[in-house]
Amino acid sequence: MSIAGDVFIVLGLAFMVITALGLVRLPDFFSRVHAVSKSETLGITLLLLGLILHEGATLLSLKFALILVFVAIANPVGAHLLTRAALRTGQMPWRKEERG
Amino acid sequence: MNERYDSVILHFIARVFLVPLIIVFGIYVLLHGELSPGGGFQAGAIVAAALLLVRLTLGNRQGALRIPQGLLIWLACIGLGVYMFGGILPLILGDNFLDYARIPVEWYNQFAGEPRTARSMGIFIIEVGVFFGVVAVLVLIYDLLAGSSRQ
Repeated sequence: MSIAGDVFIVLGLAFMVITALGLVRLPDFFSRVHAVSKSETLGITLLLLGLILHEGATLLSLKFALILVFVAIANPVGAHLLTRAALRTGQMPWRKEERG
Repeated sequence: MNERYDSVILHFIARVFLVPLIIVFGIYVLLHGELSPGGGFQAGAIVAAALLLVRLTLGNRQGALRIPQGLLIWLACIGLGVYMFGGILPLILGDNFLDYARIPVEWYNQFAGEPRTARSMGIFIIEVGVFFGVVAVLVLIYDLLAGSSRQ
């Protein structure tokens, strides 16, 4: 059980590193929000699952599960609102070649 | 929120899911104030955050849990009064200011009759006062800063 938890935690950390990389490397606002919302949610989910596996069935695991539920709900909603506001204020999505 | 950026997803998540849970968690933090991490100020900040989330989501529309400013000022004063009541009650009973050991609480739990029981209850009275004061003042600050179009 402990080794499975370690595997989950390392996977989650890998997803978070990918998130940070995407935040630095991707070209415009929409793709950056895309990177943050999706892969960071998955990274935190895997991290907390690993911690739950380490902890076993205790009260602390229940609290981890609650954190998981809140992050999994709040993170996509925040990304949705950010992108919606950006699109409606006139931010155009990035294209490979600029069109005149 | 501005009508232009409105979203059904935000409304559902904020009003149906987040705000009731935040208020319940704030009351949980308040009730744990004197025994474990938590307290009146933190609970008041959490509940005020829930009220401000409703305001940010709904803006001027109906259902935004708008509270009149006079009532908010009254609530802050009542919180201060509860605090002062909890502080002066030991003075009347013959102890120091904020020293609750002689407050008569015999029904509290299995530690009835010991000074720590009375001290725990006294701290709880004060936490409730701080809670109301912080909720009222934080919401009032937001209303005064953001509410020039509201009134």
